[in-house]
Amino acid sequence: MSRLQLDALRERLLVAGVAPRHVRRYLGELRHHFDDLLRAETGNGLSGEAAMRAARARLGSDESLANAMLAKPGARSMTARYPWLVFGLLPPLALIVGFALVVIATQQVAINGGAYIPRQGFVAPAPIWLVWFLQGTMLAINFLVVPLLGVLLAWVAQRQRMKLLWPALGMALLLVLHVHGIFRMDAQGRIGRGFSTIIPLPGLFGSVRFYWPVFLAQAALLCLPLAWLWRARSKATQ
Amino acid sequence: MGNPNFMNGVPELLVLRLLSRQEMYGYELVQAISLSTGNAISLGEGVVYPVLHALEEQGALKSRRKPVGGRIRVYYSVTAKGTKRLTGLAAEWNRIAGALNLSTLEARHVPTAT
Repeated sequence: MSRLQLDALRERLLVAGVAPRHVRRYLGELRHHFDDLLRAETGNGLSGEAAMRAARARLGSDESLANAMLAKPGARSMTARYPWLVFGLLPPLALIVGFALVVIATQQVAINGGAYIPRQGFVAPAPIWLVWFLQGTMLAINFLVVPLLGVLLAWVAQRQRMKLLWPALGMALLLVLHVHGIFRMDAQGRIGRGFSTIIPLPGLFGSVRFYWPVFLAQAALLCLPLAWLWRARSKATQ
Repeated sequence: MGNPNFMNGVPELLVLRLLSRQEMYGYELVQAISLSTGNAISLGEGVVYPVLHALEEQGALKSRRKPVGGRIRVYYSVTAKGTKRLTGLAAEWNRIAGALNLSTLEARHVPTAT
C-alpha cells in the first residue's frame, strides 16, 4: 500500500466539483506513480525520508495536480453542475414516478390473485392476504422509501462534499410535497388505496389530503440522514 | 512547462506521439517524455493523468488494466481517432515551427539603419 497522503488533494477536488469517480481514478494512478518514483529514487541511492521527499517533489505539488485536473473538460460531476436538478427536481419526481409504479404493481398483484376486477375495482370483502399486502406496501413506501431517498440525498451530498443546504432542500421538498400512500377499508370490507400529494395530480393520485402523523413521522425519519451528514462534517473539520 | 497558453496542445502531441509507438503506463510515459525531449519539458509528473483521461474520454486513447508483479497497471494506447488527431496536431505544430524558423531567419537578415 502506498504511503502517499493525498487526503487534502482529494478534498480539494471534490469540493471543486470533480466527479468522485474521476477523483478516485486520479488518486489511484498517482499512488501507483508515486510508488514507481519511490522505487526509482531508492534505486538512485536515496533512502527513507529523502527518497519520499524526492518522489513527492517529482510527482508535483497538490496545487499543480489539482489545477491539472480542474482544467480537464468534463471533470465536474452532474451533482456539482446542476445541484438544483439533483437535489431539487429529481427527488420529488422520482418519488411520484416510483409511487405510480407501485400502484400499477399492486394492482397487477391483485388482478393475478383474483382480488381485483378491471373496470370494477377490488372485490369485497377483500381477502386478508390483500389487506396485509397493501397495508405493508403503504407502510413501506411511507416510512421506508421516503427516508431511504433522504439517505440517498445525504450520501450524494457527502460524496461530492456539497453544502448541507442542498440535501436539506431536497428533503424539505419531499416533506412539503407530502407524497404518501393511503390505504382504507370500510365496514363491508371494500378497500381503497391510492396516493396523495399536495399537488393535485390526475389519474393514479387521489384527492389532496394532508396526514399530519405521516408528515411528522417522515420529517423525523428524514432528520436522521441530515443529522448524520452534519455530524460527519463536524468530525471532518475537527 | 512555461506559458500554459503557448504550450497548449503540446502535452497531447507528446502523449499521442509516444503512445502511437507502443502502449505504456503513466510512469513509463512520463519517463519517455523526459527522454524524448531531453528534459526540455519538465512537468509535475502526476499532471499527465488528467491529459490521459481527457484523451481517453475523447476517444483518442484506450486503456486496459494489466496485472504486473502483483500490481495493476493501467496501460494506454492510441486509437484510430487518436492517430488522426496526432496527424492534425503534428501538422499544426510543424506549421507553427516553420513560421517561427522563417521569422527567426528573416530577423537575422533585416538590414540595420546607419
